[in-house]
Formats: sequence, C-alpha cells, structure tokens
Amino acid sequence: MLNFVLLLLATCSAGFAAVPAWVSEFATASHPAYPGKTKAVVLFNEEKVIAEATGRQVTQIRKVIKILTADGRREAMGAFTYDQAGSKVREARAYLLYPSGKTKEFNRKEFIEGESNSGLYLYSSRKFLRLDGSKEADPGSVFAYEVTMEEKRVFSQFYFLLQDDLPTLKSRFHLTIPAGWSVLAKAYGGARAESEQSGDTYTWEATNLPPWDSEPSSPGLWSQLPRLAIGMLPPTGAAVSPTDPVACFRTWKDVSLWKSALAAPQVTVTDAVKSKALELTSSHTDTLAKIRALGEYVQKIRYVAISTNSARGGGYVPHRADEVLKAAYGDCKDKANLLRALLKSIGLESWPVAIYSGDSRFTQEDFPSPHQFNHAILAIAVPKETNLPATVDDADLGRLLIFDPTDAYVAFGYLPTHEQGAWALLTADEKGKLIRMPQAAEGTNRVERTWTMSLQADGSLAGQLVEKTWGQDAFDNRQQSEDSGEQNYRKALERWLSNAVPGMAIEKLEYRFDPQANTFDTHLRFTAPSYAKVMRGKLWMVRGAPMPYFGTPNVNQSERTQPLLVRERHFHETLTWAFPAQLKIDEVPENESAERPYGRFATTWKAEDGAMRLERTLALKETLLPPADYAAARSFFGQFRAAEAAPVVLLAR
Amino acid sequence: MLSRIILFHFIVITSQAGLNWKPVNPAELNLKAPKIDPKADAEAIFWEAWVEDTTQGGYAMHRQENYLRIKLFNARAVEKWGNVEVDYYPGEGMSISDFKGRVIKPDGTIVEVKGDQVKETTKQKQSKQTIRTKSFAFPALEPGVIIEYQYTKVYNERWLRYVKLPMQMEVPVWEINYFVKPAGRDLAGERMKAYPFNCEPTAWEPAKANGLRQGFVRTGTKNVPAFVEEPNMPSEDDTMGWLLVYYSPSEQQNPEKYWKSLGRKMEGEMNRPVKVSGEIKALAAEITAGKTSIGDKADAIAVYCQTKLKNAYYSANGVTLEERQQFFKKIKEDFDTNDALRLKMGRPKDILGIFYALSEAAGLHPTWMAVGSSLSAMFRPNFMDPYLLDNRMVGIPDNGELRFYNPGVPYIPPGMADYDEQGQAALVCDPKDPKLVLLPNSGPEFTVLRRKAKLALSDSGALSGNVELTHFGHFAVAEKRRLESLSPAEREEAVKKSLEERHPGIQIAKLTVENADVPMGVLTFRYDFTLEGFGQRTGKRIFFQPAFFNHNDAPRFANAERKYPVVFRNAFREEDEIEIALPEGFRLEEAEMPGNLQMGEVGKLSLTARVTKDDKEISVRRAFSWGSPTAGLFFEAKDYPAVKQAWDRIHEINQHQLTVRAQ
Repeated sequence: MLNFVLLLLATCSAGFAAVPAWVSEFATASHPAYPGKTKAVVLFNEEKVIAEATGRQVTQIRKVIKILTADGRREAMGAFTYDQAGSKVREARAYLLYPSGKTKEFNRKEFIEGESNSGLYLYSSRKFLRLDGSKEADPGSVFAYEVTMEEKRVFSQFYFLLQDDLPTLKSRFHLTIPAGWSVLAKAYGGARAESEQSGDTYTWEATNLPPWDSEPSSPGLWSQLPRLAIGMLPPTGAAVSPTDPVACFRTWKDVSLWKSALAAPQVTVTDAVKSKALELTSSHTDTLAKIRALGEYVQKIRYVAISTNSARGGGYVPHRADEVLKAAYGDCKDKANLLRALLKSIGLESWPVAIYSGDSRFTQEDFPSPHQFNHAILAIAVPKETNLPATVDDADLGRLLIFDPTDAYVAFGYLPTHEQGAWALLTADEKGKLIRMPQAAEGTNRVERTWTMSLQADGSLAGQLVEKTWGQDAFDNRQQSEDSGEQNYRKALERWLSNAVPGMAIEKLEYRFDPQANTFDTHLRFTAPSYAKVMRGKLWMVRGAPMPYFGTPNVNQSERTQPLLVRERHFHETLTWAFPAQLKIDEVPENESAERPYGRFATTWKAEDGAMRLERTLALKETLLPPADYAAARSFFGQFRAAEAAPVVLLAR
Repeated sequence: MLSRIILFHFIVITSQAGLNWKPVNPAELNLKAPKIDPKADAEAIFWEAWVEDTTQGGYAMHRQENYLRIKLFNARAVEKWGNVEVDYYPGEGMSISDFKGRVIKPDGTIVEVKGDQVKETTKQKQSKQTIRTKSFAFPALEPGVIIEYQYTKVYNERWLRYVKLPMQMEVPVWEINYFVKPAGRDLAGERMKAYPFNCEPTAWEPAKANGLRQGFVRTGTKNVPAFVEEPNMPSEDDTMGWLLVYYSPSEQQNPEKYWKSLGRKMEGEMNRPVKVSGEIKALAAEITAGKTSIGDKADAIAVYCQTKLKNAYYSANGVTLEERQQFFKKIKEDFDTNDALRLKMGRPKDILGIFYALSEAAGLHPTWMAVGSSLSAMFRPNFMDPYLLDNRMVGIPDNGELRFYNPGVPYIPPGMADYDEQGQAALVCDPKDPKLVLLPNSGPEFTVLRRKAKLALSDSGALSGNVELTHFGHFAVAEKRRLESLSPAEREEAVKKSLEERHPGIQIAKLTVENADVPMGVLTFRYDFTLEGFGQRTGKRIFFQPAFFNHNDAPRFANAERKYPVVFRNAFREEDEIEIALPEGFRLEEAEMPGNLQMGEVGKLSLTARVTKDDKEISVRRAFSWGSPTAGLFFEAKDYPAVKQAWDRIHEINQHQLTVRAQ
C-alpha cells in the first residue's frame, strides 16, 4: 500500500507523467525570449531514418512545439505525407500539454487522412496524415507528435529542413546507413554539414535557431532556410538504372542517366503524334517556325496533374505522349514529353530539362539530386544562328532553345523570369549536365508609358495613356487580360486607375498582345472630374505623374533582417501637359536623378508657357542586396517615390 | 440487416440506370457566339435535375440526378470547365453514382470520359467523417466544344425537409428544369411546397415520363444571365436565383394567421430549456437592485450576462480553449439555463436563455423573438415557414415599445441588434399577441469612430505625433471580433499591420490596444508615429492633407457599372479632431476648407479648420455620418450612379489639400 501511495505521489509530482519522457524532457526546456509576434517555438525537431540498400527505410519523426501566442495555435499541428502504395504508417501519436498542467493524448484514429496537394492535382497517390491540435492549444501549451513509418524510396537522398519560420531550440537528423555505405552531406542557409558518427549512424544537429521573419521583396524562403542535403552512396559504383532497387547519384550525369531512362519509353511517336505534328507544321518551311507552331500548340493544352505510383518514381515519369495528345491535358512533364515526341516525329531533337520553378536561387550546383527540382521544361536543338532570348550553347548538344510548354503566356523564344539564371538539369543521357538557364538581356522586360493630358478650366482632366510593355511585363499583362476576360479586365483597370486618379472614367479602352512583336499594348482615353486641387480659385496644385510605378521593391519597413531582392526593371514615362490659359506655372519640381550599382533613375521637368513635359526613367538590375545596404536602397527608392509624387503649382493669372 | 442489403442493391441497380445522353442539336454544335450574353466565355445549354425523396425497404432516401450541357466558346472556358469534381460524405450516408461525362466536338465527334479516367479519392478522413471526391478531366477539349456531364447524389437513410435548387449559374443558362417527386405522406407527413427566390420559375406541371419516372412534377426557367459578384452587394441568397422546395405542416393560406400561430408554437419550443429557479430569482433581484426603470433593469441583466458569464463561442473575458473543451464535454441533451448558470458559462443560446429567465424573474415579461439575417435571404411574409427566421433575440416590452436584446454576443451594447439583424423582420413569439415586427436600424450616433491626433508637420513634409482611436457600436463589435482571440502582442501587431497598409512607410511606436476582449470596455488604440513624405514639398511650399485619417483612402466605388443593389452594413459616424503644428517659418497660403456636404437624409460630411492666432497650428475638425434608421443603407442598382457620385465627392473632400509657404 505504501508503495502504491509513493507511486501515486511520484506520478502526480511528475506533472507530465502521461506523456513519454522525450516529450516531457523538451516540454520543460527553457528558451530565449522572442519578439512578441513570435507565434511558437519548436523545442525539438527530430527525424531518424534507418535506410536499407533496397530503398526500404524506417523513418521516425518527433516534434515538440510550444505555443506562444493565440495566432500560434495553428502551429499545434502534426502533419506529414506518404505514398499510399509504398508506405505504411506504423504509429502516429500526438500529445497536448495544457498550461494548467493537464495532458491529452491523441491516437492514430484522431489523425486526419487525405490526399496531399489536392488543390494542385486532380488525383495524386500521395497522402497526408494530420493531427490538428489548434482548437485546444492555448498560448503556453506544448504540442508534440511522433510518427513512425516504413517507406520505399526511389533514390537514396534526403532533405532535412532544420527549421521553418519558427525559432527552433534543437533540430536533429539521424541517418543509419547499410554497412559499407558512405554519406555525402551538404549544408545550406547557414547550416553545418559536419556530423557526429557512431557506427553506421550519422547525426547532424543545430541549436538555438532564431525566428525567421517574413519580409517583403525577399528571395524565396526555401532557398534561405538552414537545410541539409544528404546522399547515401554504395560501396562500389552508383546504381543509376530505374530497375535498381534504389538509385544513388554522385554526379549530375548520374541523375541525367537515371531520369533519361525513366522518360525515354514515354516519347511515343505514334501515327497520331506524327499526323498532329505534320498538321501543325506543314505550312512552315523554317525550322524555328515549325518549333514555334508545335510549342504554341502544347502551351494551349490544359494543365491537369494526375500523379500515380510516386513511390516507384511515378512522379518523374510523364504519361505517354500519344495519351496526352489524345486527352489534350497533362502536367508539366507530360507537356514537355508531348512536345518532345512531336518534335521527334519531324526529325527535331530535344531533351527534358528539370528546373526549380518559382525561385531561381533554390538549386545548388554541388548536390546532384532530382530532389532539387519541381518543374519540367524542354531544351530544343535549334540552328546555330538562332538568336532568341532563351537560347544557350552547349558544348555537346549545340545551340539550345529553352522552352516552357506549361506557361501559356510567355512567348516563344522567351523564358519566364523566375526560371531565368537558375541551375537546371539538362536530361540527355551521357551528355546530361547541370546548366545555367539563359538570362534575358538588360531591357528585355520594359514598360513605356506616354500620357497626353489636358487640364480644364474647371479643374477636371482629360487625357490619354498609351502603354507598351515588353518581355515579362507584357506576358504578365497578357495573362491578366486573358484570364480575366474583357469585362473583368476593364473593371480591374478601372479600380487600378481610380486609386490614382479618383473619379476617373474610362471613355475608350483598347488592348492587345502583339504575337509578332511580343508586346502588350494598351490605349485608353479618360476623364477625371476634379483632378486639380484648387485653393480659393487662385492656387492650383496638380500631380505631374498621375500613376505611380509599382515595379520597385517594397521598402516600407524601416529595417530588414533579410536581403532585399531588386528585380530587373526598365521603365520610361513621358507626360505632356496642357494647362488652361488662365493659369501660369509657378513651381515645377526640381529635376532629380540618382545612380546606384543596382539601378538609376532620372526625372526631368520642362515647363513652357501653358504646357509642361515630364520625362522619367528607372532602370534596375537584378540584384540581391544584403541587409547592411538596405538603408541606402530605401533612401534611393524613397527618392524615386518622392519625385513621382511631386506636385506642380499653378497660379491664376 | 437483410432489408439494408436489399436496399443497397436496389439503389445501385436504379442509380445505374441514370439519364440517357440527349441528342445534340446541330444548331448547338455550330453555335459560334453566346446567345444570352455576347461577352460570356461559356453558356449552359441546359441543366436538368431529377429530385426525389422516397422510402425503399423502410428507409428514407433523397436522390438528385443532375445533367448539365455547356457550350465552351473560348480558351478561358476550356480552362474553367475542364475538370469536374464532386465531393460527398459517405459517413453521412451519401454516395455518388452515374458520374460520367463526354465532349462533343463541333463536327459532332463524341469523346467519352472513360471509366479509368474517373478518379476517386479520399480528400479527408477522420474516424467516420470522410470527404470523398469523384473527379475527371474532360479529354480533347478546345474552344467550340460542348461538354456534358451527369452525376447522381444519394443521401441514404434520410430525407431532406428543405432542398435548395439553384435557378442560376455562374454562366448564362438557356434552360434549367427540375423534375421533383414530392415525398409521400408516409415520409414527410406534410405537403411539398416551393418558394422562388429572385427568380420566376414556371408553374409546376406533371412531368411526362415513363418507368421509374412516375409521379414527378416539373418547373424551370429560361434565359438566365450569369450570376456575378460585386462589392457591397446583398447576400447571395438575396441576389442569385434559387427555388426552395420544402415540407411544412401548415396548410394555412393567410400569412397573418400563419405567423401568429407559428409565434405561439415557437414560444413553447424556445422556453423549454429556460428554468426560472429560486437561484435565478435571487440573482435577478441582486442584479436589478436599485434599478427602477424597465430599461435600466433589462440593460443591467444584459450586461451581467455579457460580463459575468463566459461565452463558449467567444474569447471574451479571457475564455481559453481548454475551458471551452471542458465546457463542451459537460453539455448533455437536457442542458438548461440553470446548468449554464451553475457553470457560469454557456453557448450564445444558453446565455440568451439565462437573460430570458432573469428578465422573467425580474418581472420584465420577456418575449422570445425569431429574427431574420441579412446574411441570408430577406424575410418574405408570404413565405410561410420559419426558414428565414433563424436568429434568436429577446424582446422586453417597455411602455408600448419593445426593447431588443442579444447578450449571446458579448460585445453588442444592450438594446442593439447585431449588424446582420438590424432592419430585419422578427417574429415576436408572445403567446398572447404574437406578431411580426421590423427591427430598427441603429442610427449613426450609436456606431462611432472617434479619432484624435496631435501632430507636427516638418519642413520636409514628414508628419509625426500621437493618435487615439476609440470605437463604439458596430465599429467596436467588428474590431473586437477580429482581435479578441489574439494575444496582446498579436493584437498590437494586427493593428500595426492595418496602419502600415493604410499609410505605407509609417513608423509606429508605443502602440497600445485596450479592451479588445472586454465586453463593455471601450476599444481604444493609441500610438505614436512618423510618416515621411506625407506632405509634398516643392521649392517654396508644402502641400498636405488635413484629413490625416483619410490619407491614402481609395475611392469606395471604382467601377462605372452596377448590376445588383448596394448595401451598407450599418449607419456610422466618424468624428476627427486633428491638431497640426506647422513647420517653423511656414504660413498657410490661400487656405480654404470644403465646409459641409449635406446628402439629404443619407449622410453629412463636414471638414473645417481654424488656425491659431500665431499661425503656427491648425485645428481640423471632420465629422462624417452615413446612413440613418430609415435611409442610406440600401440602394437599388439604378441609383448606383448617384451613390458613386456622392462617394466620389466624399473622397474628394477627404483628400482636400492645404498649402503652407516658406516666409
């Protein structure tokens, strides 16, 4: 009986007795004081992988999160994904430690199962398992979860994010490899590649990682966070055949060979494919014109992602080209593969290119892995005299045109800006390699506006705007106009314009994308009832440039902790004003100009009797500015903003 | 068990029958441009649905067979209509069958969606709660094709008392036809009725059909424009066309008699969980001690309910999630007002019940009220069903008038209705005199945003100083709903973010947020700030906007055209007191203020300023009120140009500039 009482006392005093030791150990860990807006702190983040040479592995994930604020409740979430065909979830448990000291355990049945990426895919065999503790986790609560699963991996590489945007007290990755195998580890975003070794188990650890603030005009989060890329290599040679139990990569050529072997059988040049290619190209004699006709056809095919069999490399295998042609839909690799088959059917060569879409800084040159990509495009062999913005020269394959058949708005010969300059894998068997995507020449992306405006004696404004855009600026406008439709695009323009010129009414609007010049042209005529600010009928104030230019980075914050991403931009605007005869110009803003390594601007005012001309230009180079340079950049862009807002003063005669 | 198995097989067999594909008219194939709206991307040629509630093998079943045919005119339509996804909930006895589709090319070629192209997946599953999805992508799509698809939704072991049938789509539709088989008396026990909202369907007529299709009646509509969304529009239920099919026990044809009868019936139902115990009586006496008027007593009880009882649906008074979890575990089927009072915590309906019981105990003769909401369709007296009176309030008679209370929302001042209940119909469930009343709209004086600023303009145009914002009425309720569940630091961050969005580049310091989760506390924000570039500097002058709080306001209505009425949530008033110290060595030049803008009963804006004797400071006063209990909250679409013009003028005044010139 005494023993029972002692046991009871021990249980009560332990406080966290209902939870496993690893949870109570980290739940009580002290952490630094964070800024008030920090939602939660990850007290412990661990992944343990025991990998076999067959590609089978057992993974255990453990995470302990302390909720710091009310908004942080949503961090009380345990979630992971797995493939329903190749994986088995052995165990999934979660625990909530209330601030009152009470605890609650969630079992496997309380986890929500579902289809991963359901918004992106029409169907995917990838599933998620998620336990949402947010409805019960008050600030001060600790949420922990543990998952153990068996998986079949396609290749022997691992990515581990040491933290997300939350501060993290301790983050650990353990890898146990088969006897005789070795590891190759790379670290990015300030992480350390060095590990502790104990037998066949390697451990990487990071501690006290500070919170990661989301700041506007920053590079992509995933290319900045501290992370590990780890490869597991067999004792002799690398297995690169898709029929091998698990693929291992030492070089980019290994990755190319592996991906090439998976993709090659899907380039099915059937009669239907040949017939379609002939139908689309028969009226053209020029090779580039043929490529363009086929490329633009595939661009128009609907994007529909159906992913099956991802545990066996299905995520890397396109559907057969003839099937995609018949269905007239597919995902990025399906589209690239169809275009490849169409080109092949008329005797033109092309190769798939794997790229990371959305952040050209993500892919790292020193870690050969298919993990580094999320998108498929195509490199097409073109005549050596081809001179288009998206061409590159390859020592083995000659001049290549890089083409993205998924982006329906970027014109033939161009590459979306978020893919330009990125490392990408040219998948060409033995000749495959990592190559830099072409970067468009300076000035390719450009906005040019011409305003002709007449201020009326009653203070109203009548004018017209002609805007011409090139490059990505033109493609963005094209996308917006085509996606919205005429009515909605007009409404969007009305909203945009009336924010700058209240009451503005569009009298005439014409716009079109010119497929020959690859420009988007807008012509609009407008009136605004009371543009001038008139004081006692004597003093008139007008803003010389009615519309701000929105292409500059966001520098509203007074300080930054992350680099500022300045995008390449070219903007030129000419504004011609006519004033009523009863007014004379009293004050015109000073001419302004400034130049920095990443850009320059100039604003020039010229006033004559009853008229005024304003010309302004801004040219920016793609640059990543360190936080130390932020104050100077803020001042530069602030100067540009002030110059465009500068008023002109008129006096009644 | 045997009957269930038989039923299952029967459903499978009948559902496999589905609907046959109908022949395609060559004119539909050759159609090059939309028929109803020349700018439409796609038009639905028809939507046909067969709806029935039946009993089979002793089990109820609701079944809807849908068949849509849509012509796609351009690439945008191909993109939008390319995939069909239908969700269903197997845990609730729901299933989808006959899910099929096909594409008809302009030359008449038909491409069927094959069986292996139909995907079925579990979108989400937790214990028995599962959402499954059936989907397919239409093959061989291109502009000019016709797509058609069918699916049958079955709700096993249940029937639906209310069925909402859309009579409008997001694309123009040539024809919608519903074939409905009324539930038998054995199932519903009541006669099927239908009520059209925002549409004029044809009169019901017997449907000509064979075999299993006996006993259906048909209604429909033709040439319906697309439903589009606009800012400040009434609820979707009040703008989109739809038909409600429902079963009601009442055969009453006279609305007045119907509502009186319903009022008596509802009173009994609503009173069921209300227990006027000795404890309640004692508490009522304590709360109302010293109060003499009916209004003071009722207000005191409402404030007690809002401040002393914890509301399980809100974070008011610091209710934690753990407390809520514990509370919900204690709720049983017979949970009543005494249980809630004992726990000092309740759901909104429990708290309203306590209010009723305390009022009863205090001799205030409360009455239950069933109230409409502007978030759904407006009340129609000739629609004789409680469907549109889903909210609850309590009325307290006071000298021939009725005072309205809803302490189930902790932040609504006593005597005020929530924003969506104002101006709505309510059924006063007084057993002696049940009647319909209209809840009044509160005047602008009840919803006030009071803003004070002590500021200084620098010779570079920067503005700095300190600000105090206090919120009352609906302003306070809306902000408290936004902020209450956040922690103090997050509230400050949320307010800071709103300010930074309004004034890009503003630097905020010493921000405080008071009473964000305190029911009767005055919600107050205070902060210091600096805003570079507020004033525009020229060589000799600085131009600046005296109505600082309206800096960077966007015009309220940007678009030239309007399809639906314009609604405002509630009447409101803004009162601004702004003191601005002018930069040293600068004097006002040609200063002029817009003065007053009177917009009839609808609103009033006044922007005035005076300068101190030493010309060093200006004192700006802005008062803007919009709406009243009887005007300014609802405008027909035809009145949109006038509303837009008024708001453009308001915007213009708010953006008024003053100039100071270097001496």
